Amino acid sequence: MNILLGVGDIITPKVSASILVLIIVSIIPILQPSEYVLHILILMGIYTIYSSSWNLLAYTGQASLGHSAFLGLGGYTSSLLVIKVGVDPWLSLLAGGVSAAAAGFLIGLTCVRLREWFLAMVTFGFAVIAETAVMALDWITQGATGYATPSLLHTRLQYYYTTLALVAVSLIIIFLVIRSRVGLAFSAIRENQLEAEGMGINTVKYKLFAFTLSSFFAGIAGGFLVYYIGYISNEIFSFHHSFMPLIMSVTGGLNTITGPIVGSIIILSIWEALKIINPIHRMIAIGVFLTLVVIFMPKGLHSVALRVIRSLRV
Amino acid sequence: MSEAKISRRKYLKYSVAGVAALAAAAAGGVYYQRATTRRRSIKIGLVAPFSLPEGPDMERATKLAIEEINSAGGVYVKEWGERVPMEYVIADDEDASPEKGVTAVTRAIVEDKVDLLVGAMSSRAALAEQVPAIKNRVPFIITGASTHLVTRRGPQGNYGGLPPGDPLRIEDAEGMSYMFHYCTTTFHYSKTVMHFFGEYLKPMVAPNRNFRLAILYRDDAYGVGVWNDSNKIIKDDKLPIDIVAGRKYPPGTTDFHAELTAVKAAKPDGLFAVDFTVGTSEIYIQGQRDVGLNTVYVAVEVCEGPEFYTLLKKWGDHQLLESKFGPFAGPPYYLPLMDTYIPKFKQKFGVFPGMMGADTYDAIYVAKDAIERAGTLDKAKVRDALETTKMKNLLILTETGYIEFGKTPETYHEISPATFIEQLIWDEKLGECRPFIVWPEKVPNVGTIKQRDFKLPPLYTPGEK
Repeated sequence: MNILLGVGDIITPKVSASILVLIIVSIIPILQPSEYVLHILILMGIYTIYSSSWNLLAYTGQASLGHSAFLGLGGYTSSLLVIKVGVDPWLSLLAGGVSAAAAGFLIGLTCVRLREWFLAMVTFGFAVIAETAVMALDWITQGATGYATPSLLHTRLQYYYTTLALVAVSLIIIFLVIRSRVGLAFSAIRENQLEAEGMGINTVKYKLFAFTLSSFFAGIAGGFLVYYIGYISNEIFSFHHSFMPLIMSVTGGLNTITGPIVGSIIILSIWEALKIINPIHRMIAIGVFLTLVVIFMPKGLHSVALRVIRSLRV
Repeated sequence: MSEAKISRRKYLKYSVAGVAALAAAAAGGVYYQRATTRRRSIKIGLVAPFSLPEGPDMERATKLAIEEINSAGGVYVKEWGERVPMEYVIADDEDASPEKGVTAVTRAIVEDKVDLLVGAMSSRAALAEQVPAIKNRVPFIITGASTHLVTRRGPQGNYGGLPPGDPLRIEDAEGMSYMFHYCTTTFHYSKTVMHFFGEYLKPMVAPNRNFRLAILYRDDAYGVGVWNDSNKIIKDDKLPIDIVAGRKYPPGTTDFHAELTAVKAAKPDGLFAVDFTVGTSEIYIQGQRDVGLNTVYVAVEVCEGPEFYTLLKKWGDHQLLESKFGPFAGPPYYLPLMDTYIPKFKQKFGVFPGMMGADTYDAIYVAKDAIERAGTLDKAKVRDALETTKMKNLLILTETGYIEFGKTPETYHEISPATFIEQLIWDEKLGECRPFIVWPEKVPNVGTIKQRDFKLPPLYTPGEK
């Protein structure tokens, strides 16, 4: 696997733009935004990691409707390791990712041969099982009541910069994977699995790798989310959490690096901004927005931005 | 030369006059600015779930209370020497989940700069939502969570039995002092139901043996809390009750045939259904219609809303509901305020008020009272005033007849609600059941609340002969 390409290949205009964006978001706290704005930015960062993890799976043409299982697994593993075993919180965060990856690998072993909605059904089923297990193990997980989680960091600013670092590292890894031969194999599988197999690509191996890596990042996002929110309950396995990465990725742009970033920013911004209107109207507005995106911008808002940039160049 | 001198004098005069005018304008501006910044409305953050039926009910009650307060001139703030209006902002925790709740409450505190928070429905959401309020020292009158931990997880409440190191413990005593609980806890309503069965129904249906009770409950903080408290109350109060079946099920369940069949096999004398409106009505209906479990069903007060009566139809006839606010049990009502609140609510919103809204309505008035006594919007002083609240009952009954917050570790910042049992009777004209209070006979400081005697359901079958 030639994961690392030449420096010239990597420092493309898109990468330069990403570095610029990173610099801009790094200096946001200098503008002294309110605690709430920082809070939303942190959530956007966490959801960027989470929806990017889901999108990574979509690169291979696989769809998960139960990604919250990995988010929750990461959250429970990380926090329980700290509370019950006294593991270092940072190490526990990594352990949360590894446990989610292990679960993803095992699930992948059994279901990567499944396609489309069958795989979605299995992942959905896994989320149900994971939630049931958490409820059944209430002597350790406190069941539906849940429990408070210890703080990983002291201030919101620290959380902000840590989120930024986690987003950057996650996206760089995902980017390198996508730009490597592995990524090409992913695309080939997505476009036509039979043809990919005919070309000698071990589709099971690549899909399993995508599944495992995707679960790892979902686990990291879950661990960090519960440390940040300060509370975890079975609610982490909810439909909301399973559908959010799908909605964000589709809105931003499927099978792109920037799609989940754009999607997380747009969806969370709309969700929050519309809170000034009646909650029922808000739900209708969000529903209408998502419908319009799917009908008129099937490639996501990311594609609109690209079109605008191209037209400016012309 | 002299002209120059004169013009210089003139120049000086005009300059002095100009400076004075500017200073006066600036002073006026500052004064005006101070006056405008001083005189502002009081902002209440309403923490409510708008994806659930309880959220809109809480908002309607809040709107009504604030309109009443404002049309009566507003809230008198002594520090400003004037009355100011109240307003509310919604902190929507959507489906009452911790993550959404923390975001909503943070926004209300940081962006909307609320003076006080009111609301919160589910226990787990409230436990997370109160953390930003504790950190920012914002008084929070929690009107929904049934777990007592919202006020007892700090040192003042002796950590509610949480062992050292438990993540739910909050060591910030100062922050915890801003939390107030205006709600019934799982302990309160379990106590009412257990005592009704043990003291009132047992002699009627099982004079020579213990009362056989079945409990069906949601597998969440609320259901498990009721289960634990019911067992504890039976033991501590030595009630003649045997729990013959206790079955929990996942929240959101609507098919109870398996649970009800198992319950029927256990031959209970009564069934305690611990769910929200939809689940409870299904338990009542499926139990009687499909499983033939002809027993006495009792539900928790959270079902006290118009939807419950609509869903139940005739299947609610002669069945029971524990409650602390009975908008359908009158007129005449047991509290004078209900005579105006209920028709006004119905006229304004076209629906009957629910119980969650009633708690919220009271809490708005509790907030108004505390701010007026504090004479300021300084949050620490409002907190102090809340601690010494002593108001006559509004819509929610309390054991003392007054709204006051407890001071002992066992009652820290909690009210002492008085709850009752209603029996639903089919009303042919309305095509719905209507409740009548059957137990207890009296409430201290209010007097008789009982409206009629309890009658066993016509098809009632005791557990064992």
